Amino acid sequence: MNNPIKNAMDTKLASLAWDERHSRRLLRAVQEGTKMKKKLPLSLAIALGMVLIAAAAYAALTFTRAPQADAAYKARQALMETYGLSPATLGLFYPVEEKTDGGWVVTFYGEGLANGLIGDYTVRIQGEEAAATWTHDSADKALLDSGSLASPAWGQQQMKKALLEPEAANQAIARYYEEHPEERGKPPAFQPPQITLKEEESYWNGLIIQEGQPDKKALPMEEAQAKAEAAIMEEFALTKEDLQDALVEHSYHAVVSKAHNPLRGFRFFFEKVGVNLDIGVMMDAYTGEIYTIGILTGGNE
Amino acid sequence: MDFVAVPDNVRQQALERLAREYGSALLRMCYVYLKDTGLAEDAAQDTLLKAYSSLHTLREKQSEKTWLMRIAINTCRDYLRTPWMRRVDRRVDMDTLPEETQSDPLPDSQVLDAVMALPPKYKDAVLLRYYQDMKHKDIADTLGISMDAAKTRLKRANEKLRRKLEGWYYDE
Repeated sequence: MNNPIKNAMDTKLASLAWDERHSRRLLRAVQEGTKMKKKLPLSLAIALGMVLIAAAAYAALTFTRAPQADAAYKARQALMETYGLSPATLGLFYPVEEKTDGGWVVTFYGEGLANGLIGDYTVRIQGEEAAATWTHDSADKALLDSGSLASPAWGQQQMKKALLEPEAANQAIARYYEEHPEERGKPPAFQPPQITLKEEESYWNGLIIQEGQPDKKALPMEEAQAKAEAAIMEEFALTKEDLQDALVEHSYHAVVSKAHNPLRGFRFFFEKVGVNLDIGVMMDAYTGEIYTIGILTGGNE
Repeated sequence: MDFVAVPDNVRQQALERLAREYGSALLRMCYVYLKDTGLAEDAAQDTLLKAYSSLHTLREKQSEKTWLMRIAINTCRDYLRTPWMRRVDRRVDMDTLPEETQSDPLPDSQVLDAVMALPPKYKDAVLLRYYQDMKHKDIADTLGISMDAAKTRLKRANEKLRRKLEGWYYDE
C-alpha cells in the first residue's frame, strides 16, 4: 500500500530507532524505582511519613521569595485588585520582571487569544507600593463590565467568557482581524528567545536547566512541595480544595547556571472555573526560596 | 472491571517486549509531536514506564497497541503543556532533521512538515491511522471519542493534507 505518511516517517526519521541505549536507560529507570520501593520497610515508611507530614506542615508556613519572584507576586496582586484578573486570565500573560532604580517593572505580555484585544499590563513597584496600568485603560468601562465579546478591548469578563466559550471567542477574534487586518500576523510584543537546546536541557523563563538527581543538601521532596503549594495558594488566592485534585509533577535540576543553586520544580495541573490551569514553581533546592512561578491556562478541553 | 494481575518479573519481561515491538514507533510518534529528539526519547521512555506501572489496568481483551498509543499521546500532550515548551519556538528546520537513510523520490520532508503542522486532534487521527495502521474503531478507542468523530477528524485532516500535498497525496 502506498502510504506516504508512513513512508515519510520511516524514511525521514529512520535514525530515530529504539536501540540498546534506550533499553538500558529504560531498565535502569525501572530498577531504580523498584529498588527504592523495596528498601523501605513498612514501619519505617509510616514513621518517615509522619515526620514528613509534620515537616511539610511547618514548611508550608515558612517560605521566602527571591526578589524577582517577590516582584511578580506583588504585580499579580496588583492586577487582581485593580483589574479583577483571576488565575485563569493571569495565565494568558507572560510576565517579564525588570529591575529598576529602587524598584521593579513587571510587564505582562498577552500571549493567549488576540493580543490586540487583551493588551498588555504593566506594574511599577516601589517598596510595597504597586501601580498597575493596561493598554486599554481608556476603554469603555460599561462595555468591559458587560463581558461582550464585541468590545474592542477584552478585560477580565471577556477573557473569562472566551476561555469558557472558545467557539464564540474564535468567531469574535476572526471578526476583530477582519476589521483590523494590520493586527493579523503581527509579532507579539514579547519574543521568546530562539534557543537550540542540547540533549537533556529544558528551558524555564530565561533559564536553561538540566534535570539531575537531588544531592544530600536538597530539601526533601515533600517539604519542597508543601512550600510550592503554600506559595501558589498565596500568589493566586487559591485554597487547599482548589488544589486537592491537582496532578502534581516534580523535578530536580542539577545544573542551572553558576549564579544559582540547583532548583526544584513543581507543576500543578488542575481545573478552576472550567479552565485547565498549569502552574509551575521553581525553587532553590537547598533553601526552598521561591525562584519563580509561572501560570498558563490550558483551555477548557 | 477485570484486571490482569501481573507479577514484577513478568511485568519487566512485558516491558522489554513492548519496548522492542513499539519503541521505534513511539520515538517517531513522539518526535512528530515534540519536534525534539531528546524530548521524544524522554516521552517514549515515560510512555513505557507508565505502561509498566499500570500494566494491571490493561484489560485482557483490550488492544495493547491502542492502550500504549493512548498513553503516548497523553504523555506528549503533557509535555506540550509545560511552560518551557509553550515559550520556546520549536519550529523545526527540516534541514536539521536526521539524514534520510535511503534516497526516495517522494518529498518526505514536505509530508512530515505537513503532518507536524496539523492541529493536535487531526495529528492524532492521522498518526494513528496512517502510521499505526489502526482501524477507525481503534482510533476512536485510543482517543476516547466516538467512531463517527474519529472518521470526521480523519476526513478533515485528509482535506488539510490534500491541500498541502496536492498532486500526489494518497487517499483511501
